[in-house]
Amino acid sequence: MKLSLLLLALGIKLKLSSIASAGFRRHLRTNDFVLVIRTEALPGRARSFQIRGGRIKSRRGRDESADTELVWCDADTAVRAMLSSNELDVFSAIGRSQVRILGNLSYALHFMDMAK
Amino acid sequence: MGYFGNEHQVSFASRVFPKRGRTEAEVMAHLDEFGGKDVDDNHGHAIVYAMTLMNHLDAARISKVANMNFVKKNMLFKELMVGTERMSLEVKRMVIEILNYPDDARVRFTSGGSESLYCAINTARQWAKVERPRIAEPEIVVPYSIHAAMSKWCRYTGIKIKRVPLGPDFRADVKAIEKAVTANTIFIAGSAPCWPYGLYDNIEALSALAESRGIWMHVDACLGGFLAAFVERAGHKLPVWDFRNPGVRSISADLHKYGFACKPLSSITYRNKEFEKYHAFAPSDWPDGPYNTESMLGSTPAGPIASAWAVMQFLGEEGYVDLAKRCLQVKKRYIEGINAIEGMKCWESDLSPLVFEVPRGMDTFAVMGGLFDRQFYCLPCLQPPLIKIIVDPVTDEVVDGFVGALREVVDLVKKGSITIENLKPYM
Repeated sequence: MKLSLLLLALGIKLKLSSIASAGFRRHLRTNDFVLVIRTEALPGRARSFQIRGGRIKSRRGRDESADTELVWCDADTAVRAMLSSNELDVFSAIGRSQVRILGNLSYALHFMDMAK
Repeated sequence: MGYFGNEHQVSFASRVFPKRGRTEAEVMAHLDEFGGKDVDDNHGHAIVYAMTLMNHLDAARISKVANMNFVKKNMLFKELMVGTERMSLEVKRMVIEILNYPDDARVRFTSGGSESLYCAINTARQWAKVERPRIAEPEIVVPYSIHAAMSKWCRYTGIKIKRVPLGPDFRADVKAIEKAVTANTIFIAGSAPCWPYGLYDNIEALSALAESRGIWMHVDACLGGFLAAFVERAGHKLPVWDFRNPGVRSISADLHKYGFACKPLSSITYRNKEFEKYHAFAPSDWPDGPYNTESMLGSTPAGPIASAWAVMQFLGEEGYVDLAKRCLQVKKRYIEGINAIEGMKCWESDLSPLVFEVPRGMDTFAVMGGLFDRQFYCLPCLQPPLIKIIVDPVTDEVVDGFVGALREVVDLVKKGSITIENLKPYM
């Protein structure tokens, strides 16, 4: 539940940033992709983020055509890392295999940069 | 910006460019100061510093001296340097002889693996313009593990790149590549071996696919080409990765890696003159007439070519075979040492690099941070998290030093004394 709310809030934050900031829109325009965030245990409880032409849409559920998936081992770990003020915590989670990056790595890194 | 993406923020208290020149002694002392802050050669073995780290210190010295002796020469003006040009042609001939390429193969020098890969795609693009004129939006199809330089060139030029997910064995999934090939595909490629995992793609199957579809096939042997040639002579079995596969039209192999020449020097070799002709481009749409160059660069330093000539002549086939055997011994020693640490596991690799997993649940990047602090510089892989070391023909002492440091670091990471924060200064 916590993770679902966090991802919903992240989608709203990114959407508002894309409306309010021309710089952020330019940043978004550098790549078009679909990214899914989910957990290993509950693959169905996912959120998909579609970035296309400088616009961002997010919706509940797992987009089957995703270019990249961030698959967390569990929701608590995901929430802890994503809410941490230390950006290294996400990398540490990658280093511990607490999150697996499936598909194109560059989109995951781009998304993590946007979500900072 | 560094390999890991860091950008050093330096502030300058005063002008760096002096009004009046300094003495030679002052200048050299200051240069020593810069160099003294860098990684120690013997510890930095894990990054590709091959030339300075090779076991054979005489060859390393000769390679450096040769580079220095030709440092002022620019291969852009070959006509004026008959001797240097002859030397350069002899190096190209040795590349053909070493790598067992066909007699009529055509070698071109480049500044490194990246430029070789740029040339491969560009040559295929120029070929397609002539031979496949209907393709307006060319695309290339490659395994996900192919070197990132291919994506870079495609970004520069607007060519579409399709990176196809690997098979369960982390090698190119040839069936998936076949499915991804369309009427717009001009080029496919495989690695021998790939940089992320040290694994050979199935070049034979990729070559057959390229032949059946009439498209360009490139083999990226930038890292392993010059090692493969000699480990094979030493009796070590490798997959058939070169022009023995009839669909292969070009191969890249770096002389500044296991050729032990000074940087920057790589080669791209075309199966024959017919394919090479698409590599060369001499623009003449300016007042000075045709501008002929070796590859993409204009000015081309002769020093690294001289260093390649010198080290090839000094070592000879027997010397290279000895170094190749040493690489295999070093690899075995790494594997035994690393696997003896609880929870650590080396992956099977065909040649070099060697990659390994840290114990389950442990932060791979914390381990790297601890190794960096001890001057053992490794490279990361993120999918999955792995640590990579390049297999150099170093001494047992260097390998044991690395393994000892790794054991110590793993213990300290377990205790929480080393974390990812240790890696932060290097990121």
